[in-house]
Amino acid sequence: MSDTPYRILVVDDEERLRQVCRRVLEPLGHLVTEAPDGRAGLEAIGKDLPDLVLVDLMMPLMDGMEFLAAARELHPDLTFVVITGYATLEKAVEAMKQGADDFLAKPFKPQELRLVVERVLKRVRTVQDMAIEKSRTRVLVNAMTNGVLVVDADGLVALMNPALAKLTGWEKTDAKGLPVAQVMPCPEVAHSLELILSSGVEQARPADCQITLGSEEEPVHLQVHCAPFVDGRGHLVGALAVFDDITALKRLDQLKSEVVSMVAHEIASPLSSVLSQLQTILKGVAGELTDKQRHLIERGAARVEGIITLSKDLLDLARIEAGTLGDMEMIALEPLLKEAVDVMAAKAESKGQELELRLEASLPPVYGVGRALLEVFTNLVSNAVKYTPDGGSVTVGARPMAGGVKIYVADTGFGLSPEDQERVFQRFYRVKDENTRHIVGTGLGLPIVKKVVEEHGGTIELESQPGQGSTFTIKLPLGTEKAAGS
Amino acid sequence: MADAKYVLVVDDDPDLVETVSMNLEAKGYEVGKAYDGLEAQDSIKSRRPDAIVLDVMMPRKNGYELCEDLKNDPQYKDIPILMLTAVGSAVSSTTYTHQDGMQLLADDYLPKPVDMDKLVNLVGELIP
Repeated sequence: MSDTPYRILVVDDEERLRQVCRRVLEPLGHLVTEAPDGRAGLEAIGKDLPDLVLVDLMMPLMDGMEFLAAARELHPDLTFVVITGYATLEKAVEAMKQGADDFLAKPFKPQELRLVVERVLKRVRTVQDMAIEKSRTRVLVNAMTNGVLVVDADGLVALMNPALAKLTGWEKTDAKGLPVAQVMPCPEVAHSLELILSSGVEQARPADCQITLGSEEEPVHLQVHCAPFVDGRGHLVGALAVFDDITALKRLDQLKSEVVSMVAHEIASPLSSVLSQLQTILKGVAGELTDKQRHLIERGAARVEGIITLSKDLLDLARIEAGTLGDMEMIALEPLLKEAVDVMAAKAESKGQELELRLEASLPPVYGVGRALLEVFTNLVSNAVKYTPDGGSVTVGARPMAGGVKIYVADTGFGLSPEDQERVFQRFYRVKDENTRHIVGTGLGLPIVKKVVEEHGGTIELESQPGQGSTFTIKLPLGTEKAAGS
Repeated sequence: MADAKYVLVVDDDPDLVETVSMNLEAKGYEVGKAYDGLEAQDSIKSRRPDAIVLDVMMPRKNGYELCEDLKNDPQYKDIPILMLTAVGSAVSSTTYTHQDGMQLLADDYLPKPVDMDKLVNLVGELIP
């Protein structure tokens, strides 16, 4: 028996029968109330809020059928058991058609009444549980600060919670049954949902997109997660989208980039003057230097240069993150590669290294930002020269490949262990061992290289053997102005 | 040297002006100094330089503005200008990239931190 008692209303003109019901049902823990006719029964329903109503079909004033019809209309979720004096099948069927949930034939034994009531109450419990679950879900969805959109299998709105209405500025009362496009100006979301619905339950995959709503002055950035809606039997019955407001995050990220840029600039500017001063001393413009003085000032200058490079890298990262890498245009790669090699030629020569540029065929142009690509190549060549011992060799090469261009920078340097290979593209990660101890670096070079290459729709790979050398390979897609939408 | 070439160095960082001047003077140039765009303008009016080394970011009148004024002035448009661009700036001698739609009018560009050997060489190349 359940913990909370059920309220059972007995509507019957025969007092004896009401008494029987009370005697049978009260010991089971139920609360029994009575009404002597249909009208009183309707009133009692409103007052006592029963879980179950037992009703005699034969009553004066208002018969059971009429009562059932009226009560059903007022309380569609209520459960009824009809008691019928002449136990014909037709009468029972008619009552069931009127909405009765079960019936009991007179005369009945107490045990029969118990059985019927318990059977019906089991159903009542399930229905009530579902109602609670449903209202719980509704309260939950309505109280969520995330926007929620559910569409049916035809792509029409089945549910739009208040948070989403607020985000999208939907002011009309009910969006139910409307196409998504009519409810919100988010073609990306409508498209993702359509794609899920049209792919069928096997192929349907969740998809994420970012959209911007709101005004130009006050944009609202939303991260949208779209997912298929599959019912208990594994049928695709619709799709849903959850909207997450990431405006504050975006704003913070922007602020972070601004602060980083400002700090980096404030540090780099005075230090660049310091570097020029040290250089000037080293040139002997301010008088001759002893070897020890020269050594110390050279080391000092290298450290200052390191900090300036770090600031430059931070500025670059901030620029990439702000999406202001620069304007894309058709770029010829040969001059950039040549320049990257030229910039490092003196350094390579001072280390007795062979630095070679190997252009095997003429290269097709790519669509990109020249300055950023030059940075990428300079970075890789500079790394190769720095991390290759004296007398080694560095080869820079490029050749066309299907759909793009392949560029590689190969060295005979220290190489990288498999663990380091995984981590060199992480920010501020630096390989620290006896080989690299005196090499000034920021740990930002390769992360920047990777980001810039990816912004160009390309990939970068690293092959390396400790003690043998490393080869970085960049693949850039062929330059078509159309391809550079993002 | 009676006919030493005269170079005007303009930067709001006095340390950099001093360092650049030392390097130019070591190569036999005569050097004038100014610490913002307006000062530079006055200096140019009182004595016409053979070349200008010009910083971009300066108070009162920045390097781009002064450069534009000079290049649009028939009297001064022939004075070669070597522009010193900010650290990490998109404009350098090797990649002439348009940034923020800025019209690039200077005769050459050198990014900070300034490589003094390059600076001295470029000044030598710019002066006819």
